[in-house]
Amino acid sequence: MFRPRSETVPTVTVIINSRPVPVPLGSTAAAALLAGGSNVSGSTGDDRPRGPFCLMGACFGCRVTIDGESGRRACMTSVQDGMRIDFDTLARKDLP
Amino acid sequence: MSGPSDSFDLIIIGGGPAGLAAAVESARHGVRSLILDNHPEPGGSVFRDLVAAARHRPGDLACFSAYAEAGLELLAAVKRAGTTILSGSSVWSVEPDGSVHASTPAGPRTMHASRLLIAAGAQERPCPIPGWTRPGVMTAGAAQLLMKQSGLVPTGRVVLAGSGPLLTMVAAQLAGFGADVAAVLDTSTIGDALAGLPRLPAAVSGGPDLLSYGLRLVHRLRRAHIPIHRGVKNLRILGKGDDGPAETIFWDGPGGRGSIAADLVLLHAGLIPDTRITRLLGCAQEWSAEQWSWRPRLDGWGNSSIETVAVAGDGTGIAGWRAAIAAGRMAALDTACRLHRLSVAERDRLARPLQRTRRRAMGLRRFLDRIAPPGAGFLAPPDETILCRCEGVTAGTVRNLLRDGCAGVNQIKAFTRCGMGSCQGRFCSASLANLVVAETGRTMEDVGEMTVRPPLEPMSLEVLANSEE
Repeated sequence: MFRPRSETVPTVTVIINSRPVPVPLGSTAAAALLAGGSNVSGSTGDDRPRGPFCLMGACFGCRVTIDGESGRRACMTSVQDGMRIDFDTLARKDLP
Repeated sequence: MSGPSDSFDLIIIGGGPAGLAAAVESARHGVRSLILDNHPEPGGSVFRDLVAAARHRPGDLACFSAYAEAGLELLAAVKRAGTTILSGSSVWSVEPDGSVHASTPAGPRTMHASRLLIAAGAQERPCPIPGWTRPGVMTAGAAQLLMKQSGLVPTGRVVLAGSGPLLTMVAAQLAGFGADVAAVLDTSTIGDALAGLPRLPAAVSGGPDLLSYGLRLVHRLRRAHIPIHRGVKNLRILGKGDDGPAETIFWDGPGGRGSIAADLVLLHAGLIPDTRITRLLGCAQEWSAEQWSWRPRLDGWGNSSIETVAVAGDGTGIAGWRAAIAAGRMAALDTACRLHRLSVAERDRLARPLQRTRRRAMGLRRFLDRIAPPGAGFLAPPDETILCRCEGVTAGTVRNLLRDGCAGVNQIKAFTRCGMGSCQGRFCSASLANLVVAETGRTMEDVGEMTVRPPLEPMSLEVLANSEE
């Protein structure tokens, strides 16, 4: 997946599917998913797994539940310390 | 609900280089403007996150040297100008009378302005090839944003495939960040490079610094012994099972068949203007064969076919951030003139150096468009390729419909749901039109584009209900 280039950057901790993941300050939730080892974050109309793809808000591949609100584009959401990021159940079913 | 506080001289949609520059120029002439931007931070795809990077990871900025300084300067200027930027705000409808409907972090809001400046920018061109929907396949721009936003580097083997300056740039930046870049697969050919030669002089005088920056990047790739395969075609990505993560990318090239293992495949085939807002408004559009994309038809100041609407930046055709800044300022100057804050003579005087900047940028761009023809290699994907990522509609399904006499893109959309998923056609509309043109031999002007309807962004019914007056 992805790792921080430098280990010394300031981080915040987000909770991805109940697992704490440290991510660099200033990241988006999509970056947090990728840094946390998930390149599958959901599925689409055809029930196939999809992951973050464009990271600029256009593809809707990274929609997840953030702090209880479903359908949010992870790439358009800045991380906050303690933010909860969950994939919806449909997506979990598709995880390889 | 709309009140005096929701009335402006100019509403700028998009907080990238064009929008920010327009706000700075507007403020200079007493034009009251507002910027709506749908990302958490302003700057657009090129400048966003530079402030955070400068603060938290100053060492990383060197990797983005070609534009970091200009970006930070522009962001500081807009701050000094005191323009309100509504970040995190999705515009879901716009009307020719100057009304803008948005869901903002503070709730739904309808605003109004004498003039609108659409500075919505561009997106990466969809690259439909077999396997491009697999996890572990992203766009090259996405990897660049991860570097800029978060200083993140891919952990496994990375292969970049497609064409265009950004492909080379991201490959070199990734290598500089310590990523394992295994190969660059370039769909453009030696013939394309030769065909670009007549345009080289204009490119050299147009953007000598950017051109030499590009050459340094190519040199850096060579020095790092990263193989660059040119003239590749028939790209396809295989992986675990039917839909699982990417593992290998295959291609056919001048030297025969090739394949390489990849944990991450980054695709790129140039940029296309985001024309959804101007299409929704009904602004006349024109097809650019050179850039293989639609763009609004504009006068030299960026004015569209609709009296109240101007457009600036890469949303008017890809020309890069320098041209976008100049175009944003020109649109603001013309707005100031129309609102009688600036004389025609003064507008023209201030615009002269900006026109020069745009001409120079186009000199470079016309060269780049020729050596890496936009979209090449992705225009007629094989039948099994998914065209519409959201609804899983394949190229084969579309071909069958065309053989059965299906007339056009809107009819195909209605039959297949291609373009009706959550991205609303942003990652299939262009590919669908390409396929129809390739299969039927009709012109792009004749085929046209999918109709754009509000809401432009998915929104909750609650927001929709609250916005009705």
